Amino acid sequence: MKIGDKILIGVLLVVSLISGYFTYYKAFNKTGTNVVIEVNGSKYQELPLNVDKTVTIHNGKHINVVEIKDGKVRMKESDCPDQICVNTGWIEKEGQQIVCLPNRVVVRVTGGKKGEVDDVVY
Amino acid sequence: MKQIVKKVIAILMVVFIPLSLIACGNNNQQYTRTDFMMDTVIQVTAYGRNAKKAVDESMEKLKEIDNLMSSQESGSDIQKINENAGKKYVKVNPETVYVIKTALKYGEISGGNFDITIAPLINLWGIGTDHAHVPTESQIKDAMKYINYKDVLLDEKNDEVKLSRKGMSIDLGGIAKGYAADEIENIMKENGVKHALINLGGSSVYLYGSKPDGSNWNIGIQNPFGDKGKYFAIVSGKDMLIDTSGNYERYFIQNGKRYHHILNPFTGYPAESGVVSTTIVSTNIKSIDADALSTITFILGVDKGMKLIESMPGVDAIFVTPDYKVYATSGLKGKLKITDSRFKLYENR
Repeated sequence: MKIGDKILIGVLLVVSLISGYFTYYKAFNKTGTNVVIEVNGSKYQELPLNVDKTVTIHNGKHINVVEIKDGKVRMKESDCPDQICVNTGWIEKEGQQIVCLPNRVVVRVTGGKKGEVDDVVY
Repeated sequence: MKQIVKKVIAILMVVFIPLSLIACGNNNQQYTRTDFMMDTVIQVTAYGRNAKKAVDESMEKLKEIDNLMSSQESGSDIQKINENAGKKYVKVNPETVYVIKTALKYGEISGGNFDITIAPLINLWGIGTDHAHVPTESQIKDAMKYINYKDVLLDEKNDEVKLSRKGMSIDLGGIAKGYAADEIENIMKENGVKHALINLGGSSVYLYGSKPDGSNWNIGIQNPFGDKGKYFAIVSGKDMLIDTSGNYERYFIQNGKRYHHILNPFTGYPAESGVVSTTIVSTNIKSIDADALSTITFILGVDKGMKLIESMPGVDAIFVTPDYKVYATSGLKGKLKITDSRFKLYENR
């Protein structure tokens, strides 16, 4: 074997390992990395999904409590009448969101690799 | 030695040229905005150089449409029309005239099942507001007296509209979002945007172009019996619109019975046609049409709805019944994938 062959084999090995890693990453890592909280349609805070934290949002008279725990996020409390946001429960995948329409608060998971759908129509 | 250097250069070129191409492909800027408009949550995502400009312009346009066509916004065309019911013609924006004209066309097509003069009934039930309740029989009868889309008089030449009888009012909630999606599509085109995902209130999703990597978008269809965001099937496509109407979107429960927001103008009660959700899928029609058709198919039910949709080229529909049966029109073969095995698909019925 000539030295060129060795280099060729080495480079191909590295390339295949890198592409293999990305393929794996793309296929299996669907969990998001960040939580974006939007109030009145504009960004209010962006937080990492892997750091436990509870955020209280005062929007006018309204109060919402967002809880991040164990790599998931939920609307823990809300003073809205319908409680749809609270009942949504925990979310963790990119593209998932919790909407509190009455209080105009949206919690979105971003940053990771996508799940199998780009959006859900309901 | 020279040979080795040559080989190394060759290898590096083989490896790095494709890599740099991939990098160019990924250089597709993404821009998303979420806002509360038209009584719901609007989310527009665009890709490419003009993404931000196109999305910002889209939001501006949505605000404009909302100001014109909302029945809640004071001073909107719709409020002006309603205030002058039985009195006089009102001059409105040509866009409002176009949307009303299209709505009346679907009144005709649906045999009166789609009717924008249903507003008195909507207000009476108050579904989606905090005063939602089941009205009395006589209240319903009274509200129904004012429902008839044929009593909406249009003077297209002068952009004027009149409701012929006092007490009438109109609501464009079943069609204005579709119109808005069409307008956003135009804004994307003008800005040279090639890929965008337009989500108006969750029930209307417009897939503009393909995904940035050229592949199809995959859109989940809400499981009518599951939590919000849980889907039972996936529709794949590009340059496609998907519009769903379901009994789970807005409703209230009184004495253990569920009352949803899609009212039947002939009964005065929430439509009961044996379906829990209907979804329109099309690459052929405008969003304004799809918005009207998803409501119409929901009121018509599987048999009549299927017949109507099969008569429209390039339009497809998915019906879900309470027993987890899914009926899909023939054009959806290969585009619809059931992902929740509790649902059974009946194609081409």
